[in-house]
Amino acid sequence: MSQDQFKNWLNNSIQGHESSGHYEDDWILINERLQKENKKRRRRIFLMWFGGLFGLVAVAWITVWPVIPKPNTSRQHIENMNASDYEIIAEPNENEQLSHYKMNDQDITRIFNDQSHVQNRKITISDNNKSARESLRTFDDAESLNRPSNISEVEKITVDSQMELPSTKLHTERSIAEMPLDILRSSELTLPLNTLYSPPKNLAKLPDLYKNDKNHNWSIEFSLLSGIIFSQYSKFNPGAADLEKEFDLVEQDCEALGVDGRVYRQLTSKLHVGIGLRYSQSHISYSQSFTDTFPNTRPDQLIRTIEDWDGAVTDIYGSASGKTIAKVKRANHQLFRTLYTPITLRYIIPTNNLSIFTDLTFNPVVSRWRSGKSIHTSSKDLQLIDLKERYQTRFDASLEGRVGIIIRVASNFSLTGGLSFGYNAFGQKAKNNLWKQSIHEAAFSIGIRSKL
Amino acid sequence: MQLKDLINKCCQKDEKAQKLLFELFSPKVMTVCRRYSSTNEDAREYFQECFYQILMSIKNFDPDQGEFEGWMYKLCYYTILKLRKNEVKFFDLNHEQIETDEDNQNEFPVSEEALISEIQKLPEGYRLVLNLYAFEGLSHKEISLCLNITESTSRSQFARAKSLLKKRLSNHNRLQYVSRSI
Repeated sequence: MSQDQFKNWLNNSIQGHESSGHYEDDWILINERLQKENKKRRRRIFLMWFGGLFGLVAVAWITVWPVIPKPNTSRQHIENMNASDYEIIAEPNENEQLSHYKMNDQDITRIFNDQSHVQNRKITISDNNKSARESLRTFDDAESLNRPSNISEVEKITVDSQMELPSTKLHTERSIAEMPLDILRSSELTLPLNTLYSPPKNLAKLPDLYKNDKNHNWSIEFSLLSGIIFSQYSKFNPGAADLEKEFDLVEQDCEALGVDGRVYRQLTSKLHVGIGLRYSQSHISYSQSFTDTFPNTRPDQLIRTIEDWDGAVTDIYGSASGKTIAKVKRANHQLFRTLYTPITLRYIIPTNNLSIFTDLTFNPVVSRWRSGKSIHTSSKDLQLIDLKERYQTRFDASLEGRVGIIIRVASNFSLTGGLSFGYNAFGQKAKNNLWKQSIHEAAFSIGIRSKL
Repeated sequence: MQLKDLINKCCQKDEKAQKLLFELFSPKVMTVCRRYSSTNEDAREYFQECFYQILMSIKNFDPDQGEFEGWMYKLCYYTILKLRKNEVKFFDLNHEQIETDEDNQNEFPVSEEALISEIQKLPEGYRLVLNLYAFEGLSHKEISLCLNITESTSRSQFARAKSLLKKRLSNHNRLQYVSRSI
């Protein structure tokens, strides 16, 4: 027999041969590996989304931050001022320490070369030693634009609050206005800030809390959140990922078998206790906290199809539509621990005595479950394979929107109250979820904030 | 449900579809695994690994490239090779050592189970080359590249496997004949 003949003979002899045997155990092991791999995949996807979202927030932050008005930033303010709200008031108080502002070319150009600016502004000057105002003068257009021929005389000028005579002050202002830019640039000019401008009135009256946020700062927050969760579930849960799709079938089955297949809606309460850090910049702040929720209220007994349940059987109703329906006690399927790690982006709208805020919270959740191992069934017989306990970790996430108020109690201490509406955006699709929960959520929160 | 739909569902990680596919093809995959293994325990190990790889890689299956079964078997022997490649020892034999017992017997009336059983009893190197050459249709050159051996080694391993298998199958038949006569 040649090699090819032998090869053909071998092939023909075994072709299509099927090794009979029981492969159920092999399937259990393979399926476990597949499930583990799926979990890893879901975790990777979650981390990818989380990272992406975090990145987006960071990019948005970087992009939006420069265009957010920063009222107490002098340079920004000068650039944004209009001639109409520009009023020079020089009323230095004896105890007041004037902040000094070193101008750059842009500021100098804007203030002193802008004709409309110079023409329209009024200068009110009062002497430090005399209470009454001395004079109120307006620049003469033509005069202000005439540059002195001998510029060396005004080369080094420092204006400060100690200047005595209004006329001198006025003269100084005029001199500056008349100075060529290159001289101003090289002369280490230092001006008291509030001789150049005073902030617009609406900004001057901002609450202190808001003013405290003008610079980057960290604060620590304790929060207590009590909420009402509206949830919807059926005692009979087919356990399929697509719950809605299966409801019709399930209800028919239940009717036929006399099983309670109604969809229940209920309100439950929750309590979050959290501690977090908040990083603030002007109107916007970011916080990261870790909270826990309790109590965990869920029905202790469910009626499910056999195929994917993982609790102890208390009663078997029968089969319909190819599914065996049983009542399952949830004794060994309890929620073990849930960790919430909300990330909040907060926008503060300041008013006189309190601030209104809006929050957008991305809320990743890590839940730890304790459950029995899967029970596998053949089409005819129920086989309880293994009921050993095992722990599962499930990742979930939700998006929450919140509006609320901040009441400042002391200089570094504030109370927060808010009403939030949450929507569970990502979770509740895992196969092992027993019921659909946290669809809509309203919560009232109370927080205590203390600056570090 | 058609095979195409079943494969599509498996691509979507549908557990029920995966189980159905498993039930449908497990006997055939097991046969492949038995051919490559010396014991049933090894076969079982290969079988689990192969099916895991099939279900994980099923999204890579392209129906335009050929039949699903062909793709599946190919993946199986790739998987098994990956598992066993470094552990197999090949004894390079000279052509003189190979028994040239060419006879005119064209076929052996032997059952499939007995044949698989005899293949399992072959030394590992012989068995691997025999499987790749006879069942997977690889040339000796391809086998040499695949197993990192010389082409002549592949030929000699196959010739030796063939000779040994024929000898054992003859003995097997003789024993069966004797037992039937008794």
